[in-house]
Amino acid sequence: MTLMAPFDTITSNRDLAARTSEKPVIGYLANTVPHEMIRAAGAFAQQITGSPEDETPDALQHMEPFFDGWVLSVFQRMLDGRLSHLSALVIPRTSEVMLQLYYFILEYKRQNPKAGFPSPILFDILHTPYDATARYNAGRLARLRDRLGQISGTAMTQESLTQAIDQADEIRGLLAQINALRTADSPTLSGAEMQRITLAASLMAPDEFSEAAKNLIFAGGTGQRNGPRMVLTGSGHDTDGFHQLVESQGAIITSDNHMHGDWRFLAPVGQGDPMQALLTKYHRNAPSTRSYPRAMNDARLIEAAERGQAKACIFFTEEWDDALGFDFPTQRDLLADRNIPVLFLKNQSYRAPDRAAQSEQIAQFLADLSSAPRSPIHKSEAVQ
Amino acid sequence: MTDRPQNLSDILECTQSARDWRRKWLTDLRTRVFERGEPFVVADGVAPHEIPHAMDVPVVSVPWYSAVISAKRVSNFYFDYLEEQGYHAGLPRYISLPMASAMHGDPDIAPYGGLPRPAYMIARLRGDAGQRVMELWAKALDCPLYILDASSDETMDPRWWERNRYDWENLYGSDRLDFQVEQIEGLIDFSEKHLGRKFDRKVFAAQMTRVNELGEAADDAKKVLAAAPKLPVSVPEQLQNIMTPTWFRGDQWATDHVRRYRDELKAKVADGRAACGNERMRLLWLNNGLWHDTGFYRAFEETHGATFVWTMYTNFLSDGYRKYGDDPIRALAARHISMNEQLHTNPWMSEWILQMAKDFRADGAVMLTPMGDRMQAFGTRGTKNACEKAGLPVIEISASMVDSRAWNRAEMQTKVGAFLTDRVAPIATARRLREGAT
Repeated sequence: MTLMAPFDTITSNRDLAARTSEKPVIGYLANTVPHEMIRAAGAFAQQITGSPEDETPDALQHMEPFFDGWVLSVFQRMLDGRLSHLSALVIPRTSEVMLQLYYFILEYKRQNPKAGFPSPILFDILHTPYDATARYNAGRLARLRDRLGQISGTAMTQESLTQAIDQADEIRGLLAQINALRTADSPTLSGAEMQRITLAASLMAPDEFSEAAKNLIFAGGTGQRNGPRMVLTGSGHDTDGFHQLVESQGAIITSDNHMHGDWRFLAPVGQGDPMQALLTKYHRNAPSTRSYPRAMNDARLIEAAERGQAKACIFFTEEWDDALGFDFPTQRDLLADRNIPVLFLKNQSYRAPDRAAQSEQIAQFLADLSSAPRSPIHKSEAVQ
Repeated sequence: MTDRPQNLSDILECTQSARDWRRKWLTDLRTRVFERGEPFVVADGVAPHEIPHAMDVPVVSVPWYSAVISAKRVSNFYFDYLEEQGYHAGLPRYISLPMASAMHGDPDIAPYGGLPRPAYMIARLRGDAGQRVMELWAKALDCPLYILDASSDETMDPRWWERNRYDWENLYGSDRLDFQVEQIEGLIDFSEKHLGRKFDRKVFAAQMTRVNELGEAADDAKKVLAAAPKLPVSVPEQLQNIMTPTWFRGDQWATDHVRRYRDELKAKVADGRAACGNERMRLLWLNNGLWHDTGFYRAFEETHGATFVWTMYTNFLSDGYRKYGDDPIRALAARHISMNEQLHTNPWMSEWILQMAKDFRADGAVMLTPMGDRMQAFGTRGTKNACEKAGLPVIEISASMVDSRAWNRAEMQTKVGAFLTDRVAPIATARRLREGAT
């Protein structure tokens, strides 16, 4: 068995561990749901992602085609019964499309009361950095704790919460150690591999992930990698398809500044009162599309670039992006100040990405990088 | 104030009065703000304008200024400018026009020479784009920005308009209202600091009472419109008489105006006056307005005898804004807390529209699915499905509210015309037979 096999097995069959678990399974979306609570409630926590391979004809009977592709995919899987193993699905109020997905599920259930859907739970977490927001979020967190306890039949205790937090922080720590393999001066892990490992951490039982992760860390990675170092930012990537495309052309993605990337493991929950620690983590230290103010997003990208020692950036936005594009001009200029040029891949299809066109643009970008002088670049020249 | 002559297409005398009020307000704004340097505030459409209003400070609403830029036909210039700056073409249009105008900064291009620096701006964080736009805009104008975060309803009790006026504490939930009240109290402190004025709670309470009275008059007007054998005034004329009072809610003029509007409507109905004498088909206009071509609302009167009888603006002022209760600040919190969802999220959107279809005896509907503003469009498919299921045919047209570059009037007219002939006409004929008309 290769070092990557445990991770690859689960990322190619994402329901596998959940469906074989003897515990009730509670799904969740994105990086802003306290999955620690799900485990503290005695349930198996499975992150639900979209799949670009999904046709979504049933979802499109209800949803407009300009929903994010991954949301259409999740809704389709719910409609055709592929999420029937979930007792509940926790949806954070972390982007407008996630909130809308919650409402679409609610409405479908209203119109089809016999539909065997998992119970949708809205976790109305807000991301403004104010004390009033923290007080509101504290109420939402307590409500989520109670709902999860009702669904699993196991009330959470301080002890069970603390234990689940410690376990999740250990996973975060392992992910950070693995990530160091690709951010090292001489990387021994690819961006595509890191992407699959990060996803696997949200799909596997913690002890199984921990064992596989430690084996990989002990081995020191999967082999030497070379090439121009990139930071990938913008829309989330729930597969490693794009990473593979970039890295097949000789570059290496050394940091992922998006929902399914480094955001998942950078900030631990930490010690102290578990509810307060979870509140601080998910209110203030869990990045999201709705993070406010914008300067936080800008700073996060610069940190990601520095963490990965990036020489260039790929700013990737999906076809129906209506928010991240507003960050682009400012971030392009901030990166230019650091002599980091940007390839802006906008309007990218989720289901049917034009890989040939992407490949061509990446190849040209890499060619320009290799021929570019080392003097500071002008902001207007910083984007392809 | 010198009133201009009545537009020939107006049926009501009060319509010109609404235009004149708007013009006078604009003149006053320019005098007070542009010449004397008095403070003003820029605010989202669904933000509590009532706070600066109560402090006698004018509010420029984002959708209004966006519509002004569109009406002055410089929107395309600004959209091109945004793309040159790196903002991709798929980003929301409606809310980003004023930001573009501020970023560009040339007073010779911006309507009225561009907005001067406001005392502050208010943003309510509904979609993911709005918070970015308002922040970038505030930065471009170098002015303070007050943020109200937006909590979300978890249950969506379908018939919101029946509980919205009195039972709002239970409809929206005390936790959400507590949070919203806290944010509004913060806005009051922020306003006092940046305006250098004291917020008078008695003045505010009186203003809230007037908003309820305004809503009552708007509800009366809606009932007159709905019950009339033929629609007495067109949708564009309805908009003239409703939208301006909506933006000036709380002002005695607004309440008086809608009462006058209601009374004139009653008189016109008694006289048998109809906006479209040849009215045969009654249509709902679903979702946002087509602000760059409001003439489209009347494009089917001569050819098909089809008239738009209702838009969401016809009576959202009555169903959405009225809030009765002993605590005016908490009532204000309830006003905006779920406003966008009522108009754009199902089942709130679809159930209200189905009720309006019954009230207005509609035969069909035309739905605008906004291009480039998807947050305004997430409820469209579900609403269309619900209407069709209830026997109300719907045609969906995809267009920007403010960007005319991709709008092909002739093509849309043909498409909607065919829909009216094929799907709406038989339903309208059956209705007229039921109603005993010929």
